[in-house]
Amino acid sequence: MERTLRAFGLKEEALVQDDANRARSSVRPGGWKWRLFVRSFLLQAVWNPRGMQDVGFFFAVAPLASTMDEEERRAFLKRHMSFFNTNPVLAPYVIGAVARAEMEGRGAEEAAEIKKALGGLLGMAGDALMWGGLRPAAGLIAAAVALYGLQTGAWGVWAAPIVMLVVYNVPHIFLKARGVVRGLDVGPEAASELLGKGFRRAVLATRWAGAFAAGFVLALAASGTERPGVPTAVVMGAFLVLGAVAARLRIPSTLVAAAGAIGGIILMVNGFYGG
Amino acid sequence: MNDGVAVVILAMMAGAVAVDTTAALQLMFSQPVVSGTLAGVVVGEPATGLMVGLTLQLVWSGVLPVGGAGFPDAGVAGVVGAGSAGLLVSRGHPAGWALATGLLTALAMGWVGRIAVTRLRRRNIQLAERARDAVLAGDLGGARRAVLRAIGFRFSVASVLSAAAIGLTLLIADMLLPGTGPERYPALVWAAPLAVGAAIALSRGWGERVSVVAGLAVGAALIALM
Repeated sequence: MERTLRAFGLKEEALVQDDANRARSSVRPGGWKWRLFVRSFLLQAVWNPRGMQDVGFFFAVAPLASTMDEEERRAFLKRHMSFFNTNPVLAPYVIGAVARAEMEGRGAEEAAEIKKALGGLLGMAGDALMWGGLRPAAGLIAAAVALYGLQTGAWGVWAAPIVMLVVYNVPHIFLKARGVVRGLDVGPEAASELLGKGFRRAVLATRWAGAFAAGFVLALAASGTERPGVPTAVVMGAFLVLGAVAARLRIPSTLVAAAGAIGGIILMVNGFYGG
Repeated sequence: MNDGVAVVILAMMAGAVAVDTTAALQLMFSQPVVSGTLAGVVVGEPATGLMVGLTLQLVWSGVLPVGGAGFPDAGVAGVVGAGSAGLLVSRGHPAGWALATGLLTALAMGWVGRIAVTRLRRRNIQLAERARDAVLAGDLGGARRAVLRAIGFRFSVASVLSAAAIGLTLLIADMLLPGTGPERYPALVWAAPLAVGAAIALSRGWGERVSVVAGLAVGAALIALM
């Protein structure tokens, strides 16, 4: 508990929950959990370079205002219509924790701190897991399924999109739902539950799974041509090196791919189809 | 299906996919392997759509939509590329040319979409300010209106740009593409994007490099067994 508090830079007295508070918050959650969960899907609707997810965050927690008196409500509106940015998949952990603090009348003291501390922490962690790991992995696994299906006729064209949607969305929706539920139930501690050793392992596992799928796709692609021959292998090898160099130099992959496609088209114009 | 009707449906689909990209849901219908296949189904060429979609998926697999960084509008590009390629095939163009044209159109659309998203996000500053003024004046509906307007703008801009891109592609392709050519997606056209996708994975760390080689070995073994 102490370690968690230090990690989030929060004051102990602000977080310690007595039994009465726990009982009070446990009476309300059902409907709130659902409303916060649904609204969290619109967090980035008005994303802007100045306040980033400011409007989205306010929109997510806005229903809480209906439970407040006029004075509390004015302070609440001002508090939450302000800069906020985090990873959208893990944002419900912040939304849930802030909602809990507001429901227990501690919003004025804690909400800003929770948003700042958890927003940054979960932003980095969520970007590593979801954008750096799971999403590319889901896409590459789907690409492998697609290519294998196209070459062997093993399954229909729907297999790849379904794989993409399932591999990504099962963890996505689970994390969002769990974020709201645990955030409301235990507050900011929910984030430290999430970011244990298992989290780092999950990030590595998704990255390696994606890389494995990329290698698998490459093998299928190299073998899938009617006339693999030297030129195609040379082109693929050259672009493998070029792509690695471009990634190091932060040259957009769009440019490298477009250059390759145009090169291929020029060869096609000259009657060389390469497979 | 009439091509005009197909373009309208594809434009609506591109709008919906654009909204899924970041504004709402983010269920990954905006990933090219999904959006491309759906577009292919609309124009009656699902395999063509899947092929364009999976190529774009590999090209943009390393793109991180983090913070204020600009990113290619991959989902919309998938709809435009796959839709254009499918329509070209149905108009009698050789599949190889149709696929190559669709891929190039998609790459260009990804770049145009990146600019459009950046501008829309700047425009969102005004929406956010108006919402803040309304909310601080006690009008809670201000946030809801801003959310709906931002989603509406994103949908409309992506739809209009997509319709224009597909229309222009069909027009130019009908004038310029040769009547004969490969019926398959030429390896030289997709070899580069595939290699780029693998290269991104290779450039990240030892764990990824070992995994790529393992995937390559398993893939090769599987092919040898078939």
